[in-house]
Amino acid sequence: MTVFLQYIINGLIIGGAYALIGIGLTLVLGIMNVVNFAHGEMYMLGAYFLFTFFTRMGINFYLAMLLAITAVMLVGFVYERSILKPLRRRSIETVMLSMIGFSLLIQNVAMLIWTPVPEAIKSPFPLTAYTLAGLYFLPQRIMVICVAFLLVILTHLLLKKTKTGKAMRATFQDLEAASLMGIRIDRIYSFTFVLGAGLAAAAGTLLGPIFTVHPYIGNLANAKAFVIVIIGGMGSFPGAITAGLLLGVFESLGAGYISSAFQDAIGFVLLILILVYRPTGLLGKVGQTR
Amino acid sequence: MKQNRILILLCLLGSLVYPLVLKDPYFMHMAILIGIYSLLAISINLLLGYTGQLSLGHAAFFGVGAYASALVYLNLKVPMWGGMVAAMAFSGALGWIVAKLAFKLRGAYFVIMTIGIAEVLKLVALNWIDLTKGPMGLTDIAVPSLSLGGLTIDLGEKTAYYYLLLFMVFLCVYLQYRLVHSSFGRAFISIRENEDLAASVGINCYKYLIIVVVISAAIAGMAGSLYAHYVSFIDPGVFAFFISVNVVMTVIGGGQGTLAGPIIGAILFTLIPEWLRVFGDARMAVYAVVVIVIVIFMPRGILHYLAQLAALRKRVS
Repeated sequence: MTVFLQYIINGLIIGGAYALIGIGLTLVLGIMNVVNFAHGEMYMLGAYFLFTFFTRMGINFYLAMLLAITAVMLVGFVYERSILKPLRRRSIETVMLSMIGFSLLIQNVAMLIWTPVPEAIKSPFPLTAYTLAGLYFLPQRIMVICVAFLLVILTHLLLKKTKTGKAMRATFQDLEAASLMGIRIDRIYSFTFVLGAGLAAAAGTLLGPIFTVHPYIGNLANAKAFVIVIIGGMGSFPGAITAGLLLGVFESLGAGYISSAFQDAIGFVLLILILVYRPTGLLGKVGQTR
Repeated sequence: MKQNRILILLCLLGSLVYPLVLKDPYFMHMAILIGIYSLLAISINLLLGYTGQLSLGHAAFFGVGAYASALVYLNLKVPMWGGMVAAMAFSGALGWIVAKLAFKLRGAYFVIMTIGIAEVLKLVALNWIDLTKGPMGLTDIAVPSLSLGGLTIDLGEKTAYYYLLLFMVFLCVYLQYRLVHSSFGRAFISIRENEDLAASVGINCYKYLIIVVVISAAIAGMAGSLYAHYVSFIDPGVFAFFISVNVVMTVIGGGQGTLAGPIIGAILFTLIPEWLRVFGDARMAVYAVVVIVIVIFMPRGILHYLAQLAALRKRVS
């Protein structure tokens, strides 16, 4: 029973970071209708920037995290303005393929900058775990779930309480009506894309010190982000959180009880099952599958 | 039309004498790769070019074909010809299952579904060690020889393999031609142009989409089989997402929905990465830029783009 609970807790911690990636992707997809294949690359860049700022340059961990996230947001901003904006009226396939090209580009540039050799971000936290009722809590992981939780709350408040958030929700509901009401769609799009990039980067800085960092980690992060978005329902904010946590728990349980080799397949199997039986996702609206 | 026929004859002649002119093994190797890529591109073109469905998981069919063909050879000693049939059968069957499941969805959902299936298969190939040897891959997949009335041709010879592929490519181009000019092809195009309208005039879109995926998957499986027997070694890398992306780029760059498009694309996209070798380590980064440029500026293919440019120039002068 303790082991089972420990698996659940480990899963929830990783799931917290997954939720961040998922929210970022679901916002970009829901508001901009862009299938962002470079989302995982933002995660990868977040982890690498943290590596550079913290491990290489020795900046304070939290400050390095902040710097890394800001740097990735900048990359996202430049891409949105230079490539995505001119492509706004083009078909979803064109945008999708240009995103794939962009993801290839970032991956290979990262390989040129940081070499393909995997790097480890040494955790600044003590390695002794707290124990509570037979369960272990590593300080590093407590930090991960706390920051993830904080960022989810902040994003939620941003969407619900601020004027920008209101404009984003309006754009999500009806693009044309929103622009008729004087909402500057271009700004909302840029803001959404940058926010999505930032959230993915945040997840990268959180999970970077737990796993190793190499130029291809974005592929898996991207795949998982899609799994989360589809399980949660495209464009659904609570759906992405639920699905992120669920995926974390399922992976943790799957790795523990079935086989760790197939851990990464669990998400895809869930994805296929959801697409077959409930394509709108757990919390998505019905009739949205085209 | 007459001009076209002359052009086709010239291409055929050119590809027939190609090995006699350029005997260099490197050029033969490139030509064979172009052949394999052409088959894959034809397979995607049927789906993307004629019915408008984008699949980013075609590596699944390619990989299953490669593994099926290699496994029946290694375990049951079935030669390549049997392997090719097995590859087409397995890939086709997989295509049928995938289509049954995936065509409940369209657009981005369909794309992500196809990616998911390819990734699951890659993980199966990596982890079903008893059957696939996992990341070690399968080795010693031999090339057979061909006996034609007492004359035995060793297909291990690059030139012979080249002619085999040439034959296969022309067969598939012909097949594609017959298919898209039949009532099937008209149904496919009507689905691409407007699915609701197609359904309203009595076309069973779901059925036609399943048929096109099965054919497309079988061709991709055949390409996989030919690839496995050519390089004689395969590993789970045959399911790589990169292959799926590359083939889609091939078709878009060459011109989707045209007969020659896949071949032109295959030639371009096999040679471009080779030319980019001058950039050294930055090769793939430059390649990514090429991909972005093609997607943005030549969404209907390079030939169409050049024709447009020429027309523009004529208007200016």
